[in-house]
Amino acid sequence: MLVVNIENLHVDYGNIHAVRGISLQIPRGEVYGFIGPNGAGKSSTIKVLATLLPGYRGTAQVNGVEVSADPQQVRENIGYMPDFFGVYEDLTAREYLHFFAATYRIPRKRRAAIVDDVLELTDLTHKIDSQVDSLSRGMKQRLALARVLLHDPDLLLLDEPASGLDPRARIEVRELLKELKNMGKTILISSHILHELAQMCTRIGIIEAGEMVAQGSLDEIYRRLQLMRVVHVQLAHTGDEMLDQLRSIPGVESVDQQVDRIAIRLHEDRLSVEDLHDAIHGLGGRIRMYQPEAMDMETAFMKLTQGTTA
Amino acid sequence: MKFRVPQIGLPLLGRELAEQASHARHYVVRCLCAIVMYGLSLAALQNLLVADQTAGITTLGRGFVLVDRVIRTQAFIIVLFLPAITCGAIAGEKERNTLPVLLTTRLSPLVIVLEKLASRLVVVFMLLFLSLPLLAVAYSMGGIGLEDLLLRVRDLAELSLFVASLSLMCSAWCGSTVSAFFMSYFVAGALILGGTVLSGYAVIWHLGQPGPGLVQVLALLFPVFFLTVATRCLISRAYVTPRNFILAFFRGLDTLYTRMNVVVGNVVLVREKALLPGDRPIAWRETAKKSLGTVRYLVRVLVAIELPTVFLLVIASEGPTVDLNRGLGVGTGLWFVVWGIAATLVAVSGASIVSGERTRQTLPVLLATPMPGDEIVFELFAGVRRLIVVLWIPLATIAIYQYWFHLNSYRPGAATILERLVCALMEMTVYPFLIGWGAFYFGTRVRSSLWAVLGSIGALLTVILLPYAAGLILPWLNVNPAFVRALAYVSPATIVVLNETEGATFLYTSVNFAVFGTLALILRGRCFRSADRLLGRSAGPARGRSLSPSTRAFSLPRAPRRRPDAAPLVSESAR
Repeated sequence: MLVVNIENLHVDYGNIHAVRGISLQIPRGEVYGFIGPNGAGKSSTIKVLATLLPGYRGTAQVNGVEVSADPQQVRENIGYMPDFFGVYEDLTAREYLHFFAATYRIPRKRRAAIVDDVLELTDLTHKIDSQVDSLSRGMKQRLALARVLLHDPDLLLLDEPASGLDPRARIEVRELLKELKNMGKTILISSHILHELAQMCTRIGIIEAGEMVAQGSLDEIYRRLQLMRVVHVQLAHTGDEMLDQLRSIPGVESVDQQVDRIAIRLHEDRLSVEDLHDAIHGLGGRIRMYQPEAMDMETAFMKLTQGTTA
Repeated sequence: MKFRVPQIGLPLLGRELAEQASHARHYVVRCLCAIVMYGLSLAALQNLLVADQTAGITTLGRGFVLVDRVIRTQAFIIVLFLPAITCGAIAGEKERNTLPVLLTTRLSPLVIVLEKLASRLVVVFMLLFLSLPLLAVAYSMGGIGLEDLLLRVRDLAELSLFVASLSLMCSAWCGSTVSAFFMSYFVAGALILGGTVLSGYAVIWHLGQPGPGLVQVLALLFPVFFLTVATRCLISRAYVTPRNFILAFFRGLDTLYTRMNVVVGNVVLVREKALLPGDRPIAWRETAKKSLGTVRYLVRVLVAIELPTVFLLVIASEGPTVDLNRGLGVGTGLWFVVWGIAATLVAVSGASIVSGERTRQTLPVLLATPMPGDEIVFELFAGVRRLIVVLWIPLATIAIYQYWFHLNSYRPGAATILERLVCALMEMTVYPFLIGWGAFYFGTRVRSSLWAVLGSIGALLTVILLPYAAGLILPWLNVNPAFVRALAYVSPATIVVLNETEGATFLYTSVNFAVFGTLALILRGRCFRSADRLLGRSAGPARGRSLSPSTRAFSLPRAPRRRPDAAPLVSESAR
């Protein structure tokens, strides 16, 4: 069953067309990573699902309920974490969580137990009586995650949860998100930290200038991009004849002689990295260095986007 | 060595003026200032030409009356608006985190301060230029020399420089625009009070009044001092965090009272329990966690208003023979003063509810919860409701005092003693809620806290004064005088004044409060019905008539129960 169903979504801010016909579907239990440059329309899409952007066009459904038709029902099923925390003067972590537990209408008798549980999950039990504004940024993010879990929502909408965090806090948040993934939560998460999303997300959507550029699993995206794998090779003796022989290997797109190495571009679906190694060896090449270039999210992102905004 | 011609430019001034030009509110403020200035000046001119029935040659030589009105109006506008547009000059940069970038440029702190000052003075001097046609008319009427005219314009320029540099100093000192705004008036008030005390001592000790030369020197020395402090603070207080001065003040008082309380045996009048929120979480936060919402602080506000009120009323009643006129005069004066304070407090509180949530970035998370919009509005208003209840006490004190005095006197007028009391009670019942809901509605439409507060006070003054202003201008258009007189009754302030003077008839009281009470209910209903739209979230279709948020009492449905097959909230590995 689809937890999120967005079809042909359009969002306008005055004359600015921020989101232009985005469509995406997220089944239950999936972690969907939303990637895009600043101003691409990620936060706007998340805000639509969080019922905070009335006046959108298209379809935006949570658990089959259209956001504009029954926002109240949608709010029962989502946990929204914006990319800012806000200022909560004179509120302790306990009061903060009890405050939001009350807004989610959790019965009074159950609140204390639930607050204890979410604090334990986010490893903030020792900070229960600390002032919220005195917590570090990483702790605030964990507290915000604790908040969105209070009413056990079906869908978590996390807008840049790791932005502005130091490495340790970022790792802590990442581990916490993995924990939520293991718990079977459906998560829509936007981030700039691409390799972290690649580790965690079951599917990725790359958005630019309000349009979806590519989406699917990592493998699907790589395949769709028809990315060429680049292998850097150093041979003991490199002559023109050897280069011509390398170019004639089926699946090799190009061979470039560089200062200290040869860069071989190959179609990985036709020639695997291991087969290329065997082929070079078969041609009598004596290999000093054999280094396939890493193909990661950053490469895909840079290839797919041009840095434009809506 | 190559000689480089220094480039003369005013980049910051250019940016500031461009920013001002891109905001519609600046044009609105300037237009309002022009309307007020021309409205009041033309009214003065009308008095000269029409009301005195002295049209013709006898009006010659009376240009000084018009000049006086123009200059006073401009001075009033400068004192009222210049701090508002200046206090954000540096504090706004701190709020937007743009000051550090500005400090890393080649612009020295002094140049930054001077360019900021110039950008604000340009606005004021444009306003002064705007009055040239009026001054030309006054000059042509005679009665004022060119030298005298120029001296008055110089005084205005000095006043502008004084106010702008003072506000700029406060802006450089404070971490937020709102703090700088209030600090500007506080420091100005302290200076005026200090100046008054000093001149009083000078009279007592026969030291004489300062000469015009000394006044001129002081008029220039103060801005120099303010600008020097501003330049120093620009760097030293560049990273100061915004502080809630009211909260800080009350916390200071707390410490003082705690020390003093040891002497009298640690008496505790109000013990505030550290309760967690019940079923009304936002109301809990507004009344238990906000600085001006808690019982403790509201009691202090009450004491600050009630004690002087009671003291003055007792003084007015003292004496071998009770002077009825004096007693009633003091009561009337206090009624107006307390009303002014109450209206301002309620307007500020109401306007800053939603805009404050937006500034603190706490609203989106709240709006993503399943609380209905009307309930959010109802609970957000809880602090204002409590404030109104507190303000009823000094108002009721004065009303009862006046009723008691009226019982002992005969005061001619259109109303009976009971009618006066009923009218006063109706004022207390209807107007605070009208002001509160009006300010709340206004606050939902404005992004910035400062503009929400200023705008709501401005709207309040406009509603009160506009009928009177129309009454001054409409006779020029040959409108029926009876209609012009009737127009005054449109102002909600008229009945307040009337009830304190000749008295308002029962019919007028009934109609007035029926109209304004209905208006308050309409505003309240609009805030509830359009709550989601006003707060900025999806509203969903209307579902017929529902219970009001006050009677619904946070009813069902409750949060969905966890599915039996759901994974545990705290996984085994986490445990």
